[in-house]
Amino acid sequence: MSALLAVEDLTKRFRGLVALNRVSFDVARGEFLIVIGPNGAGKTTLFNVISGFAPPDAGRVMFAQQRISGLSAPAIVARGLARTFQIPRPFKSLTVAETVDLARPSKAGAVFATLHGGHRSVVEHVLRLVQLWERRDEEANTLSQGDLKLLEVARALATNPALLMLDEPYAGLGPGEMARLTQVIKDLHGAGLTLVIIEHKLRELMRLAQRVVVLHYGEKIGDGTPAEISRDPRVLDAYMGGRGAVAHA
Amino acid sequence: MFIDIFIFGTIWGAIYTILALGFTLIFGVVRILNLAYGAIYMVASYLIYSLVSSLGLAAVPAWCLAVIASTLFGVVLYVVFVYPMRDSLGRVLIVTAGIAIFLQEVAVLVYSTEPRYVPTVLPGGLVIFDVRVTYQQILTLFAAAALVAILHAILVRTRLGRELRAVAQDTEMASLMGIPVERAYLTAMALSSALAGAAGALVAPFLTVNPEMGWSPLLVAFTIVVLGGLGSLWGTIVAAFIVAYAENLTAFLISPQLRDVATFAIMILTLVFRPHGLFGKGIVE
Amino acid sequence: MIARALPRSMKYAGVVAALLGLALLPLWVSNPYFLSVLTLAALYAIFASSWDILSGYIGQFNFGHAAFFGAGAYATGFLAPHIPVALVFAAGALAAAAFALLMGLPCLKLRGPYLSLTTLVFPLILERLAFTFRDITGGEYGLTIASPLSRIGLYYASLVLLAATLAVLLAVADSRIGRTFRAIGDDDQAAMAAGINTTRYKLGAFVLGATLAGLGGVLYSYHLRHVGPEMFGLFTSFQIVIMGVVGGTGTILGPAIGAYFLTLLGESLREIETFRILIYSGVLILCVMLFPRGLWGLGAIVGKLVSRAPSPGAAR
Repeated sequence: MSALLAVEDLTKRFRGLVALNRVSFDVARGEFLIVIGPNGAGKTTLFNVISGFAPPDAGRVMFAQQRISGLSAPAIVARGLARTFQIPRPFKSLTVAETVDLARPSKAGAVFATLHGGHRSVVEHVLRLVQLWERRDEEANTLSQGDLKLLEVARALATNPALLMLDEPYAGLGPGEMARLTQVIKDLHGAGLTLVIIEHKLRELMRLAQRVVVLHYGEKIGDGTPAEISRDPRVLDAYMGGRGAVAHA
Repeated sequence: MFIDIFIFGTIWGAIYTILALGFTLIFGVVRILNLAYGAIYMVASYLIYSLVSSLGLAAVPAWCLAVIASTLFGVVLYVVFVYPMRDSLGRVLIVTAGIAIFLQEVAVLVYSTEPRYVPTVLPGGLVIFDVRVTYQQILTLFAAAALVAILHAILVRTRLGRELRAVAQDTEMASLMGIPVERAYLTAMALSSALAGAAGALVAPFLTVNPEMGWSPLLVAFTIVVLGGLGSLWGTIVAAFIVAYAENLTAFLISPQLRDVATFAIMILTLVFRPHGLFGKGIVE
Repeated sequence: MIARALPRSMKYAGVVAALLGLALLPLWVSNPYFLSVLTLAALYAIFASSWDILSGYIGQFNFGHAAFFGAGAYATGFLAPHIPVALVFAAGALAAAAFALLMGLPCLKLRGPYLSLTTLVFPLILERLAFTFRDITGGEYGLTIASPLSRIGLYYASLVLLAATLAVLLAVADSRIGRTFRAIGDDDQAAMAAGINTTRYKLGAFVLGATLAGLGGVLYSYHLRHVGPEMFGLFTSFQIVIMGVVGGTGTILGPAIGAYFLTLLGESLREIETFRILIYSGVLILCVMLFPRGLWGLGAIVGKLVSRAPSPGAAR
């Protein structure tokens, strides 16, 4: 299977601080990858660089065998790579349905066709999937934090991505919302969507994932199956003190 | 001719440095754009005019009074108008623009649109390579250099300065470290207004004082920030002198009327071709 | 949000009623001075509402709108003696659209306040150029323009253009494009993450607003029978911002109402020209401090208080 996403020697500096130091990894089509690492490890920076929100200082990103580093964020979305933000960024003057309706669908993904019959509109598909369809006419800024996070996922999904990157989707969610989100992720993975998720709190998700990449101070210090990662001495060393995340994976 | 350009470019470069430093201070610390910045400069010039020409005050006390008044004005501006809406950059922008126009019109009502002249502090001058330079202009150059040195010392050596820089770096972190952020904002605003006032008071004797005079320094200061970036003293100085020389080149070689156009051209060309400024610390994200 | 507080049909009905009322006004008002003030108000309403599509919807405050209608006015000054009226309008619109592209290039890399300060500079450059290249522009005296229309003809032409401007802008604003503008205004990074090409939309809003303002600029110069560098003055642009903010940004109709309100207020206090600017800026400061949503927002609040009876208040 060819790599859908290839991150090659990616480097990003901020004011002399190295946020990413020659990070490389591949993601295969249909794979479910989790990126973990302590706070400040460069996870969100990695997402920002891949998705075109911050230019890399060195290295490149290939997506479907084409270079995407250097393209604008909307151009990358149009190629079929979508992302969410860690802190939800709703369009506060739009309703839930309008928000999802505005997303520009790419031609890359095939999620909708697989998940649903194709009778419904994209908006309805996506909103039913995250269980926000009932609230479609509410203003986005009246939603709870958990619903806002699901709306983030819905907006990204509406771009019909081939690869979806979620930045700490579980942060700030209640137990019920977590279960809903996990179901959504399972559905998407089952439908063949390639997933890259930043998350280090949820053991359940670790069991679902096929691979884990560990970042530490901007460097990749681990890359393997969840089982391999949980035994990797470098990773355990990096997590000393905050080991809960990996130890039980 | 080129000696004219060099000498007057140097004097204006020094003035522009003060103006730009004052502007970046609010910009960097409080993270707002204060469009009334130039109006403070204008008000200070008129104050000097009134104190010296009408009340017959000596130059030095008049100058001190103008700077103190500007500082107070900046504080009032912040507390009354900026503070209540600081979270909305757009509203701050509009309200400070409104204040700038309002003050300009007050100046028109009080002083009319007739340009005013402020007598020079140091009469006389000397001739350098056939170019006549007044002592006032030389004084301005040294005063400007002294002001830059004082500001630098405040920012680097005092506790207050360290607090300001910490807030400029990372407001949240500074506040976690127990730095009174609100006080830093007020200090930045006061210092910035003092610099605008000082610049206005310094240049008043060799400019014609008129109600519209505040806009040009505002746009010059913004151009210098675009070109030289934020938070770098040397970047600001280099950019200030580039702008000053470019203006004087244009004024002497093409037409004095196009002086400002040189500045505007630098602003726009920088944004198009070097959006991150000369030193890569620009305002474009 | 406030714009959608009242049903669309009611909003449109209100606009039609207001325009019809303005069209019938000359039956009662024959004073040529007052007619000329009303013409001016209609023209400012065109400028303010066309300003709103970029400034209010996307939230990128343009401080240089005068560059657009000034371009239309100077195009008229240059070309009116040589080509038919219809082509003058086309030229005015084109000139303004061309300036919008020129301005968009550096400005769209910037956000919020930085964009505002940069847009401010463009009319100032044009002002200096108009002063400097006097052979073509007539320098500070400007150019004299012969109007092809009578005073009353000009009034109706302005009203028709205002109606067309509002129709186009409301159609855009209430469409998916308008919602995209709002989304970009809310959070342009989030909009980019949703695959929206924000630069293209911003440029589109720039060009749309500029084109309409350029057409208004042609009529403006016919109205003044003159075009001069003061057309590009700082206050000419600020005036539009003030009308927009006082009327209520992001509503298209608010800025138009603001234009009528301030023009009539200004003319009623015209004893001394300078008081007008003082009052405009004073009203602006008060408005930003107390009613950031402007007259439109105030109307919406009053409308809500007056009960849900679908009547005056907001639709004025």
